Amino acid sequence: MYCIEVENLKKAFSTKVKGEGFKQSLKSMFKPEYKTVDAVKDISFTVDSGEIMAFIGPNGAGKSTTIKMLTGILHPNSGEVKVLGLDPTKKRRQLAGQIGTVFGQKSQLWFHLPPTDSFRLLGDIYEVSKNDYKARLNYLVDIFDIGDLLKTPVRKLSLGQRVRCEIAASLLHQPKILFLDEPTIGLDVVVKQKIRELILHINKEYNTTIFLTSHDAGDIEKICKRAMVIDHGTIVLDESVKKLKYDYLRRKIVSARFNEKQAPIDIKGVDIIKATDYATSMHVDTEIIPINDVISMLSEGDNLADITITDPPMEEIILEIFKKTAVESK
Amino acid sequence: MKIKKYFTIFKISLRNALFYGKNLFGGIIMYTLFIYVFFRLWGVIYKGDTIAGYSYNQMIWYVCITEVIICTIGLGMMYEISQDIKNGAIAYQLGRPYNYILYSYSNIMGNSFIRLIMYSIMGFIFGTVLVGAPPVNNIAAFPFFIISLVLALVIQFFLLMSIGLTAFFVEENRPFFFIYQKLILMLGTLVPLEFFPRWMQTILRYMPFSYITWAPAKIFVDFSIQHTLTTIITQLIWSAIAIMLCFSIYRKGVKSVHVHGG
Repeated sequence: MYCIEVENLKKAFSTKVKGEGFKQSLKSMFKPEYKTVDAVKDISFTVDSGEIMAFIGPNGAGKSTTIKMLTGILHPNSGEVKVLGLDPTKKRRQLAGQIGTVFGQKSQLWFHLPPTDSFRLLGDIYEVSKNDYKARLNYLVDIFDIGDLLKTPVRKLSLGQRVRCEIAASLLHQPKILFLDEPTIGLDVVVKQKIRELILHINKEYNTTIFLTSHDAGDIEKICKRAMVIDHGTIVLDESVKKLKYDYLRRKIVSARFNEKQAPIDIKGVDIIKATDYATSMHVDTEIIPINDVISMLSEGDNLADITITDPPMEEIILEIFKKTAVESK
Repeated sequence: MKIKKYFTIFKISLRNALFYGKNLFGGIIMYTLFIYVFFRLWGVIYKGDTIAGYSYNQMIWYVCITEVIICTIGLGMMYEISQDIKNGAIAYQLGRPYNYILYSYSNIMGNSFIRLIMYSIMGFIFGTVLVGAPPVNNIAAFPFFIISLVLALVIQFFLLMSIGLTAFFVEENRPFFFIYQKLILMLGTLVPLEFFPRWMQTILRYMPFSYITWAPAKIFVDFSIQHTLTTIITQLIWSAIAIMLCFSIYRKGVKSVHVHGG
């Protein structure tokens, strides 16, 4: 069963255009000119229940606009949206009880009060019964490991602690879909990893659908099974993360260290990224030259001390997708 | 609709307000200054008689009460609402299963409650110290005063909220707040309605502005059952109008909400 269905969704904003200088300002006072910006141009997609979906795109691509339409905050200009079988703009409050949202930039916890107060408030807002609330809170405190933080004012928590509380807060009413907008923004690697594990855990345990936007390629690589790339209001790619990696990961990064001074390497299909006397790292295009051949060429003459082969980071893959679609659209 | 959640919001907001101790301190100084200025001013003007039916004692108590009402609902939180609408932060609040206006009402009332209590105590102390016991001629004045005060705060909140919600349609709505605030100050806070020319009084009795400060204060310092009943009925009508106005602006605004990315 699909839990999110979107068909031919469109949203345009009209903004006032202001020219430069005093004269233009005066003019816009009496005769304002408007410019329409198509934030989302005709997108369609579906999300299965229990799926973990990544929504990727640069700033201003239309990610937030789409999420806001899915949660019923923005009214679309045209198109059909069904979330859990409901029309979000018409049944916003009914839907709100079944979805959870975490926005990385905006806290839902009260700044001066300990999280437990905010939790109780959210419990009441979402009309969670007393027993359910207790059980649910115990469970979340346990897996999010926030028992010690419950009584500390939010302003005294570190960002990592706060984000854990934020996500726990949005899960108190057992939402069927969890919208995460940049959940790991500004976190260090260890905390990021922890948050990712928690998201996966919630997805597995309760079959919660996760709809995630992120700039962090690691989030997508580690959590998501499917990725949708949006740019300038259109979906440029909708594929499984596995396929994405397969298609765009033919390029490998090979780093080699040598015992003796190594003569410059010149092999077709290999681009040198950085070379010193004793170490070289390079891009290998495996369609031109198999990785095996490269390794055997490098290990000739017993000079090779160490070799590592890695996939390029997700950032590069995404960059490549954008480059490719930009070329195609021209 | 469940009332419980709104009551929880009220409680949490009240607790949150207790952390802003310094803000309260600033308010105490402001209030003291106001009362002092008017105490001296009326002291110079009054020469042992009554003006427009108010004795010196009644006049000082009048100012003590109207200032409590004016200071209770701070404009700061209203600016915040406008700001939230303008920069899109309102999006996060709209995605919750509650009525946004009732949420704001509970939130702001929780935040204002502590000020209401604090200024009321201060007003009582100032009035008693400066001019002696309150000029209450009938014990029935108290319950009617409380009712009128509650209605005054309802009108005040929903009119301010209506102005705040105009941020959906205009880029800068602060001037509306200033105009409104000055109207409230002129038409009942600084001087009672009876000080105006008769023709103006007639008009003003049909307007909402005087029913926020003049109405409750008048009941307190110069109680008469006839006047009290008409006042409270008028306040009820204006409450209903203000609530309807606020909700209709909200409904219109939400449909045209412009929340940009970010």
